Amino acid sequence: MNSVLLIAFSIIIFIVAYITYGGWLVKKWGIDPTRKTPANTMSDGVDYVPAKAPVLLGHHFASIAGAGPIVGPIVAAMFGWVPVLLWIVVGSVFFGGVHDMGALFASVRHNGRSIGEVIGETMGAKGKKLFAIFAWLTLILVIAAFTNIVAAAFVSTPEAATSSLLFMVLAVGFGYAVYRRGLSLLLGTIIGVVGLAVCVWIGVLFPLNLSIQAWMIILLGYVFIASVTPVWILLQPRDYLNSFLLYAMLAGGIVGLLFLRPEIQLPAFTSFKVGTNYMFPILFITIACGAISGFHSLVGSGTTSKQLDNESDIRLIGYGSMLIEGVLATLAIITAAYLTSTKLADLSSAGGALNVFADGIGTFMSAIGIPFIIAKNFVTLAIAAFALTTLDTATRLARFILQEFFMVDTQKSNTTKTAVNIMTNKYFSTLVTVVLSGALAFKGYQLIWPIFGSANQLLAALALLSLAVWLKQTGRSYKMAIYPMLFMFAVTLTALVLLIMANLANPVILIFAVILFILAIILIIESQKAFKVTEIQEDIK
Amino acid sequence: MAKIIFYGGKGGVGKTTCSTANSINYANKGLKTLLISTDPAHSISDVLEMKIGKKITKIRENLDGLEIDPEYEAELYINRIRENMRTILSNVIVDEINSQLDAAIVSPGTYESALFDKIAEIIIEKFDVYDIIIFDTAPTGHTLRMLTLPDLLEGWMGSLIKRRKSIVNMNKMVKRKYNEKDPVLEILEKRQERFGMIKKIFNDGDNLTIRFVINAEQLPIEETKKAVKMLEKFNIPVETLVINRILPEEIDKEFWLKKKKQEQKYMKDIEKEFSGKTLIKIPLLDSDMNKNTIDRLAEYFII
Amino acid sequence: MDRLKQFFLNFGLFFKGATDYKGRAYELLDAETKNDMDNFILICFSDQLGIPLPISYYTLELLPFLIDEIEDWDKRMDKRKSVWEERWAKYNLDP
Repeated sequence: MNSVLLIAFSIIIFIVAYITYGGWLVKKWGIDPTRKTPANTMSDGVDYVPAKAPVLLGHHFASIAGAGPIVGPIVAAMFGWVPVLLWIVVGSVFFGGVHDMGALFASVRHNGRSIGEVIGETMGAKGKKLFAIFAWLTLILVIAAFTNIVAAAFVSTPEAATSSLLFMVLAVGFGYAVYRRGLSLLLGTIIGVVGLAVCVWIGVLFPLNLSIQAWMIILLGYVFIASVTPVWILLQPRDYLNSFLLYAMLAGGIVGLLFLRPEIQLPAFTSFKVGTNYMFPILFITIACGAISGFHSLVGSGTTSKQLDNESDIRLIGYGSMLIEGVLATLAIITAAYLTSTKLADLSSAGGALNVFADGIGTFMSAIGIPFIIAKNFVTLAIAAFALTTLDTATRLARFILQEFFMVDTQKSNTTKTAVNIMTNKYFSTLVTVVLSGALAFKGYQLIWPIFGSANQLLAALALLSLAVWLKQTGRSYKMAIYPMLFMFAVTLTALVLLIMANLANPVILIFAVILFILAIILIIESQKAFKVTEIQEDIK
Repeated sequence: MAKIIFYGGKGGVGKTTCSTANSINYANKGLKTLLISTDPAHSISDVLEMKIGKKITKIRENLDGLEIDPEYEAELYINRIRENMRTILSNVIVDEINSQLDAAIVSPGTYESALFDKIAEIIIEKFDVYDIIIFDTAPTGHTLRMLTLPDLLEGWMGSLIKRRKSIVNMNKMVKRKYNEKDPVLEILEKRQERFGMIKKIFNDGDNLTIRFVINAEQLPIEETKKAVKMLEKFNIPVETLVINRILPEEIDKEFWLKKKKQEQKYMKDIEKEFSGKTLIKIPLLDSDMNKNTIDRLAEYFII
Repeated sequence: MDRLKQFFLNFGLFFKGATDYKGRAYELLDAETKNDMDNFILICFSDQLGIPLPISYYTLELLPFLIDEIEDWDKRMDKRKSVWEERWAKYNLDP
């Protein structure tokens, strides 16, 4: 079986689904091209600015692209490539696509307000606080998982470690030159892109070998420092330069794949139980970002819904970008599937999922003439760069939640006042976040990833629930949101129970899983009440 | 280098009289003195029986006087802002903001701020012109607040300036059109400088002293005790107390008859001035008012 | 033929949006800057919201110079009521 067939399969199914199921959703939800969007009615030249659909699609996709859709499928390859591919395809079409598109639609109809707010409203005041805790825990998981993933990749590909460090220096230089000193953006970009190439090249010459523990500590230190520095120094330049890396990598990877056309060697299906992992629920929660991910709804309702020019663009941007991410996930599974089981196991233990992916894309790119080691280094750098930016952003957001959560009325005793002052202090709250994530990170991402996947999909389930509540309240059909939501609840709650049972000797993991489980139950109960409500404001119909 | 004297004390202890007398004393010694009233009642005009206005008026040789009218000052300030706006913005926008500015005139903090501003202005301007500047301030609470203001305002201004500087820098980074000289920053820094100057003057023990006027009665003593403690906390020394209205050593019938005659004249004045209104007459009792004696007084309130 | 041309045009726009170099390069920085400006205005004119600060009287004279920054300020402040709106929305976190 040739891998190109897999990609072709995904793309064709996605196109068909986009036209049929996507079209059906448009009809069922009453997406109305004649209705003015918030970008037009509330246009303020700042956030609410209408944008052309393809531009917005590109922007939205760049925002949701990350390391998630790559790690998930490769880890899940233990079950064989067929289950993985099926879940990616079915998930993206019936779960993730509905979730993303629905969240975008709901946000547009709520005057462009963020889904986080809408979810909070569905929950009620108590639920809102619980949701904040839940989101914070999820962020901790993100930080822990990604720290581990990047550290593992640096161990197997020490060239990328050097390149990443150099990239950081490059980013700071870019930030200083372009933002502080006013260097023209075009010139800065050109120098930046060339600089990236230089980073890759120097990395190959001077690989940096350290143990995984050492890397994790360094990365946690980096995360702490990066997330408290002003945005223009590190985060903004990195975020910007990353997109160039991503597209170069994608282009190179896909072209290389079409050139090489490797055969699939991995077993199509292994077993319903691999080690201690049952396919239900583990397969489904392992592949979150490539099938259904709660974070997407928070992104879509951040900027995209405020810039949507016409409701007819909702399908393209909401449903379409999820499908594109599905293609990315398919690419990821191919990098595992063209290997033999032994080779896959070797690469995984040497440097985790990231190593497998980089090795694969590197091999594909070498088919079009790029030296393998340079290609592999480049890919590792690209994904690590995304992961590091994600780390930085996640830590900041976690800190904001802590600060908001602890901003209580300080009319009480003096001890409360001091406690509040400490907890809302920028450095302390970041420290708490980083230390907690660090404790988790050292457990290894194999243990964390399932919890992260569960939390992510729980988030998605909550978004679907809010979506269903709103659809029901406005008299639209809502079953297409309910069934995926029920499945998600089933999968994540089962996974959490299994994790609890498997980690009774592991206090850190155990506590996390238990807290998440309890929170999930409470949140479900809180939003059950919302289902009973039938009144609704006129303007958010 | 003027010496600045603030007169504090509970209402009715005779601050105005004392501060006026003190200033006359200095003037007679040949020191150029400026007497300033910040009390809204402006009793100095009453004591001297001459009109002292919003501009510095000569009272007599070596003595000038001034009454600060905070409302007037506030209006002056806001009208200046209005004029400023007309030169920068279109009339349409100025109209919209006018109501905001009108509201500002009656806002709670305005009175105090305008008062403080005028005091600061006078001190800075006249510091090298006069030898003595005496303030007859309003009853106790205001004095305290006023003296701690420079420190507070300097701190606030400092934080505002820091923020503004950061904003200007960040705007340069996103290439928004920004003037080389940010007018907002300029204004803030000028203010900051001014507060700094006042703070320095206030904090120099040689420059500034506070004199409290008290009567030999319970309530003024209590209040002044608290005030002195409070001021010590802020490092503002109270070195001199003026004990007003001390009964003469030899009290004889002559003394009291004279006082009673004077009082009767004023009683007639009251009855004439306020005819038609109900008058409740309460005698001067021979002991202080406290929780035991207050009942005696209660009897007099027949309505 | 026309549709094909349109498709390629859109494809180009997609990549423009994806890299969107003028936009993305300043997105986060811009958001942070606007937040800071709004905070500054809040402090300067908190009086108008019924929260008098010691400096309220003195910040009045800044009014003419801050008119541009005040435009739509109240709408923006309304959006900042929740951390979801203000922070999460802007930072585009997706793992």
